[in-house]
Amino acid sequence: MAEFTYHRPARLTEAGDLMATLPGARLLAGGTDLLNDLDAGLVSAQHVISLRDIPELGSITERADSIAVGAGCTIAAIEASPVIHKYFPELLSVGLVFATPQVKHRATLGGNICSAVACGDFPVILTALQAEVTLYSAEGTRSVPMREFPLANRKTCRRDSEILTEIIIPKKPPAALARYEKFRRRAAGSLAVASVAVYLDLDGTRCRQARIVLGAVAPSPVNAVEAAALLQQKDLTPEVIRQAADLARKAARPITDVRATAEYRRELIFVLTQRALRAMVGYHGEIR
Amino acid sequence: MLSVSNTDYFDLELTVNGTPVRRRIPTHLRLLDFLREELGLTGTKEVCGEGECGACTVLLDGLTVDACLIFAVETHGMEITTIEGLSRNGNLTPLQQAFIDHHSVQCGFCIPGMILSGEQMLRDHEQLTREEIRQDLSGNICRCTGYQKIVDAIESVSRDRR
Amino acid sequence: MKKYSYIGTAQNRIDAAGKVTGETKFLADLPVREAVFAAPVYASVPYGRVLSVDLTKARKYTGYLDFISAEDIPGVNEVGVILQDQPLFARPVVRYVGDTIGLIIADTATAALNCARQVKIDCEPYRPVFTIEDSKQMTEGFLHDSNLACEHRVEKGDIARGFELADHIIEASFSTPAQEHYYLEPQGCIAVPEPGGKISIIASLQCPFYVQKAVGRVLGIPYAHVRVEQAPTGGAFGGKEDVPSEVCARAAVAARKIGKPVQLIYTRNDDIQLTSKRHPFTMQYKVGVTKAGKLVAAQILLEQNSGAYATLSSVVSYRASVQAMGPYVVPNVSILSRSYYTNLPPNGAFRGFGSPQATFGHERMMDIIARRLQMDPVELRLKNIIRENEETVTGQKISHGAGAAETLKRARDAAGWNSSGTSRLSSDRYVTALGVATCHYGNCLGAAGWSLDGSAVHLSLLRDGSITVAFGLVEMGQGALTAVAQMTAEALAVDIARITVLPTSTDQVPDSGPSVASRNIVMTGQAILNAAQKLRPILRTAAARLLDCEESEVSFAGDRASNTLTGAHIGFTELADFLYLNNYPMSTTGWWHVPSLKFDAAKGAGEAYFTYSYATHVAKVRVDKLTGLVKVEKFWAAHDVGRAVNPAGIEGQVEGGVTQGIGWALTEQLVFDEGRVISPNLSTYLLPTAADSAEVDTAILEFPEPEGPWGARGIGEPAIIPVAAAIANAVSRAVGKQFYQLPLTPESVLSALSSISG
Repeated sequence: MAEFTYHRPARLTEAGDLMATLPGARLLAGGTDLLNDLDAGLVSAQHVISLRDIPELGSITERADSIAVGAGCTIAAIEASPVIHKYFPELLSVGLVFATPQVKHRATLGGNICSAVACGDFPVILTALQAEVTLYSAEGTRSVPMREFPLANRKTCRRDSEILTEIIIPKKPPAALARYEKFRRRAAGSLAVASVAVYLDLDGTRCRQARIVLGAVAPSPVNAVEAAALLQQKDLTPEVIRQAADLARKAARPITDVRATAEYRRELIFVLTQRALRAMVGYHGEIR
Repeated sequence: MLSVSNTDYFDLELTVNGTPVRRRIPTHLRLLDFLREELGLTGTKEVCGEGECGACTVLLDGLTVDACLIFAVETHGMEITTIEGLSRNGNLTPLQQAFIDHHSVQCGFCIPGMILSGEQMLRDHEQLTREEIRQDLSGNICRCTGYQKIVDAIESVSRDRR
Repeated sequence: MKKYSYIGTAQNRIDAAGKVTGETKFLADLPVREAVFAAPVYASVPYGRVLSVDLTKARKYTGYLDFISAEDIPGVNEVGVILQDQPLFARPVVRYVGDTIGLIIADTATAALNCARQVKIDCEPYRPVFTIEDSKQMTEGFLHDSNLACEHRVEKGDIARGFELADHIIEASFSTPAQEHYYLEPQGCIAVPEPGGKISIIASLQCPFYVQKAVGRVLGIPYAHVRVEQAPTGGAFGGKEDVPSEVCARAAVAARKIGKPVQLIYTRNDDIQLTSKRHPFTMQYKVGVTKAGKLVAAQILLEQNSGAYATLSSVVSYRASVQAMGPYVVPNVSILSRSYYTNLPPNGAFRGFGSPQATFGHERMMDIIARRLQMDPVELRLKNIIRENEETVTGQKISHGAGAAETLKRARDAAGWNSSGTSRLSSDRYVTALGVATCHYGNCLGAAGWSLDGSAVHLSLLRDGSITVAFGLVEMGQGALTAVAQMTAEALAVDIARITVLPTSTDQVPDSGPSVASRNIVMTGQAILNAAQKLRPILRTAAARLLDCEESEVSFAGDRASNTLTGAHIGFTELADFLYLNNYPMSTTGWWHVPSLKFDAAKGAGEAYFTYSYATHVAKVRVDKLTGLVKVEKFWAAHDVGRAVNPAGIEGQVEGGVTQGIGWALTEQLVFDEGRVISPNLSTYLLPTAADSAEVDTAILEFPEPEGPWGARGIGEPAIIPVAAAIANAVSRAVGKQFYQLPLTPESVLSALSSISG
């Protein structure tokens, strides 16, 4: 690993100024991706800016119609947060299938989003929850919907001078719920072969609104718009669910790699979508 | 704000195993190398070097972390416990003793990390089921034991203190 | 059954305290004074001819000191463990990505690695082969004299006649993949030049005497000038059988040239790319069976992918061939086993040594036959299992083999086995089933390795009554130190607290052969008994003098010597002091070798191994019907170990073996692209975590082996041998379709499920 100049600003404005004056500087949050990427030579850094001491990045706050999660919150901190327990229990279930306990103590929500690896977990569920991210730079701040933030594998619309500061997740209507289904080869500490996040606003078994987002089957999360549209204003019968799952499968654009073939990933999307929807509506058991 | 150039050294101050430590280190030094090479705390092992196996698990401000994925500079002002910091004056912790009594050790390379993960688990949870222990141990890879006797050891300490 | 003081009691490990406190110093933890550091420079093409090695950029790097290669070898450039086909430093032909051309020496380990990356090797590429099939098809440009590394045959009875007697002839082909050892501690050594042209090596290894020979040969010095000490070793599993000979001999050449201690520790990526794996096998079975379920004929072809060099292929092939029909009686047999060179990293020793592969073949076959006959798989096995006074496929009469059938019964009963189909429980998401597999394992090196099959210990009594034991095999995690202490205490009838087991070093004991083939308990145990037998008359004479009685009246038990008539006694400490003051000899070397074996290698007939361990495993699996994901829920393992020395250690071996077998069966996949491993890390090569491994219910059966110490046999490898077969049998029963290949990826299981429902 090569040497670098280390900066540890205590205020967001200082960090913003550094980013403006040091093009190519790397932001360091939990480091669980950055150290591996530096070691593997995937990225290089002459300047590393640590976000450790910037207090506002580490808070989780409730607002009138949303929850703001500081980008520097670790996954473990999110799992321990009463606010998250109250409003977004679905994020806890993502935590359960995310990495290892050691990594969860360091890895941050902002880091998981900014790393933007194709098999990442949180971008998928946050897209389904219609989260927005706030980007800060010396020039000002802007908001970007989560669904527009990742551009490709390891690529986002964050500009070089910008810092992801918070993730704003709108509170759900009372009857709405979300669910994350992830398939992995091992029971723990294993990356997604395919994953599905589903958001449903329900009136009994009737769907007011739905969103279905697919993970690890394209360079970035796929909004399965047609699959979700099919559910809209319908009674979610097993057959409707099956049709939506079939549309989700068609929306996937997977590749074959060391983890699985593209074919199998498509099949997984069908199974996981159906599995999520059936569980959310309350059907017992599984069908193909 | 603090800035340390790549030609300079960083004056790291932290507490390791209860003792204040001060060292000049290069900015890109991993915590793992700092512990092993600067402080000679070789109980912390390197296996995969990429945060998958947990052999380099230490407690950072009381939380298990992989020391291979942290720059030492990031731990400035913090507290670290390594395997060497658990037993005091030759007295083993109940969990260390349980690893001996339950035959949980084979080659031993994963054991320091396993014990630190176990210590955190026991601190965080009043009671632990075998399933919970297995889930919480999932960041620590062992190639010898099949984990069963490691789970036995952690479960026994959890049970005995009730 | 005779009650012993230490044999058969669960003893805490004597090396555990240092390991739970972090005090145990593994190789990388040892301080080395004035050391320089080495990193390997190796071929990046799978097959080719080195035209030039350009060091220009590496030399400019801060810390660069030297480059060591074939020209620097004072002795022979050869490190093959059995066949002489493997150069220490390849030149000019390289045969796999990882074939080592030289070592960069630098003043830090990091600098050495960085320099090694800067070396430019220009190669004329040859057309490589990666599969057994392609290797067989090759007509020119062979890897060595031919692409066939070795072959073994087993012929018994009349195979044609055997098939005529059969009511059913059942054929199937199987294949099993490579497996990476992933011992947690990588390969490594420190080579220290000593005055007078001698050298000392300290390394993470299994076979110090292999290293001694390899280093002696490449340096061209007497073996007596090479001292090899084993460092505490962080796992091996066969992966540190022959490979450390390469690692240490390379470092030794560098240390000799530079005149300073050289540390060479592989990075994890290099370790995976450069070192041996479990042999991939393809297997064709044709088995004849009567309506009643009696096996009458078996024709078997086993083919192995040897990789670039033969390393241990010939003995893996030998073991697989004689064990290819498992612990069953088959009167007519024709088995051919062949190993082919390819341009992959050499495949070599890995726990089980061809047995897990062959067991996958014969145990899948038994289930397929049972299904054809509509017979319960356990019942079919019990009809054919070898019993006392019956013959193995090599015609070896088993005089003490009752344990085989008993392991089957014990595992069956413990698991609550029902006849086929009825143990299949299903919900709409999952289907659950049990699968069974039985195996035998020839202990020690067998007829093919008999000349190496002797081992030693050196016992010394000290004046204060403490005792040191040096043994020639090693502790690599399996619990050897503790078992050696137990056996020594038992043999001398002393308190175990008196015993200190020394780190293994070649200058302590005679060449004891390799620490492989589950042979430590048997070999070291017998050597301890031999040493105790030599010391006993001396102790008896001294005790009789002290107790003022006849020697025949002295008995030893409970850490003291007693006069059996009067009950008068003296403690062992007092006895030791008396021995010292009266100039009695207080140390001795014990030796044991495996009884001679009559074996006709051309026909594969005779005594293949001097004794066999037996095991049966039952796996309970849960298959997700919609994704094909297999979860192992529970394992029942019954092992006939002859006599348990340390039951807790046996359980540990079995639990670990099962987990390693689960990995091989389900998740561990080495993926190569043009000879380069593209699953070189733990996010792509998936080892079982605590959440993936199953609870194992271990039953220890004891049918003593007369030639084993206290009746004991080996356990290390039997622990893994039936695991994958049991899982595959369970998944086949759950899904209702036969599986012929490992690993059982979710994708392959789902595709089988789809072919049924669709």
